Amino acid sequence: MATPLSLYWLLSLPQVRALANAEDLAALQDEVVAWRQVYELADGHRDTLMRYRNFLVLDWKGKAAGVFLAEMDRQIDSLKDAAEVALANERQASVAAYSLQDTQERLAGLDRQWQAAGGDNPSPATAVAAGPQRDQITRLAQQALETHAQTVVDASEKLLPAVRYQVPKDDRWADGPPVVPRGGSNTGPGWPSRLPGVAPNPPAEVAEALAVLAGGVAPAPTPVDATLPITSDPGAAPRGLGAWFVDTPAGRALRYGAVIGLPLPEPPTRPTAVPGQRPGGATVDPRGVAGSPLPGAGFGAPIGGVPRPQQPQTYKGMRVAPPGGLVGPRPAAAAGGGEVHTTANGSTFTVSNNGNAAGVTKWPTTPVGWGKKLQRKRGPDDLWSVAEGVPPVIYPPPEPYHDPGPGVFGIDR
Amino acid sequence: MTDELAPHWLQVAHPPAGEPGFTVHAPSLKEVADGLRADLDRHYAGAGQVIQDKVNQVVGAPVHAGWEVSLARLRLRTQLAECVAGLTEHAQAGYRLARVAAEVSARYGDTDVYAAARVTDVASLRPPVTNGPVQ
Repeated sequence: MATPLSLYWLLSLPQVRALANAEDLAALQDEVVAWRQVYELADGHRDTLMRYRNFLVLDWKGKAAGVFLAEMDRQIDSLKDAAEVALANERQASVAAYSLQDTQERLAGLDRQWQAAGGDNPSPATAVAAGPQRDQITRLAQQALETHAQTVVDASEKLLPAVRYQVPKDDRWADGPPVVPRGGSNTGPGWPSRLPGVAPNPPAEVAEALAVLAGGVAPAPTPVDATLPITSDPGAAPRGLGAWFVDTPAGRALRYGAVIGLPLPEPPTRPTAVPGQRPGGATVDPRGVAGSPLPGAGFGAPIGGVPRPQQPQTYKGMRVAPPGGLVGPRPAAAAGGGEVHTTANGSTFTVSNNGNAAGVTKWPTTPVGWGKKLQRKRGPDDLWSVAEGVPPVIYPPPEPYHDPGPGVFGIDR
Repeated sequence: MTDELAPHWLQVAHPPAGEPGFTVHAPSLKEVADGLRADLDRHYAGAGQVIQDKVNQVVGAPVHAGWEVSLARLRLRTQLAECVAGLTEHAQAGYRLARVAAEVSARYGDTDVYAAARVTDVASLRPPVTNGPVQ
């Protein structure tokens, strides 16, 4: 099931640019390296254990040796699995990192075009003259960010689960099982993890973009106490991306009940919108040609007074119609008394409810109407079947008469 | 046999201090135990710390992105941290192997007949019942 994406088409180009650059490419690349190191360490340790095992199996026989070697085999198999998982997950992390790098580079190119078309604060004349071009650049930037988002989501969904190892319990060691020492000492419970500190607030541009995506409310710049457990008060969570994550002693985690199944609770609104001008300086062509608003099309209510531009949406590289636009229930206005459409060659036809009159098409009245129309049961043997009792229009020609002529098989004898 | 094929970062993490790397030509179970422990101490633990430090750097870093990207990145990091935790558990299991080997070696080392060791000597290696029978 595809994960619904954020409303990237709400963002202006400066916001798209800020959001893409806010993603830390270096950190993502570090994760790729870490995955590779996990693989190498697990695989190396497996190799070490394998050599010990092959050595011991020659000199040590008996039941005790069997138990010992069985445990070694269990560890070897588990390490093999862990290495394979790490290697597979490294590929997914690499996909995400490459996607981010590619997106940032593409947006850098688009930003150069954007600057050439007036930049973030164009003059009114430039904004009007270069309006279509600026709209196009903005759409390409939005699509680039959306494609990146889908790529990262897909990669994360392909991650393999980690291989954990159930260490046998041993009551003889009251102080717990042997631990991985730190710096040669044998005192630490494994590799120490650093408690995450207070997450820095995002830059103003990023916060603005996040606020747009989150529904118009800027994320609260409240520092999070890393020592506190995950809060379980979703009602107190302010809307906004920053409030969905909390820092815990175990690392950053999702706030309880605030993310799963998250729909935008209200239609997104834009706090500051000037009619005729989009955020970032992009203007709506007053002639209504490029990016002209289509009232009633697309999502619900117009956003902050600026109607949503009718722009192509993409999903996995394919152009799709905006929700509620082409595919969907019949518009209420058209459902009443018919609707006149003009074809490309200038002729007109009417769409009405009953569809009984000649030349009138019955419009599907359900969201899946088109699909239902195509779901008529037709098999390969009845492609041209007609209802019973209907006289045929085309009659078969008379059967040809064949005269064999004289002298064939002695007929004329 | 010297582990000369170890990745470079592993060698950097724990360069052999005047030793030609770890060898597995151990003549006895005691040497296997000592060798395994030394390998875990010098090699595995140090390399694991390198990974853990890297994970620590990225786990706490915020991701300013759309909610689905943030969620996906969090999933990536969580899985990474889980895998590192799995490495820790494997290390603990390795230490347990070394300790049991050392105990068996201490009890029967003089005879150098390890077949005399009883199953109870290695009982701590048995996995929990929930894991099913020993292979």
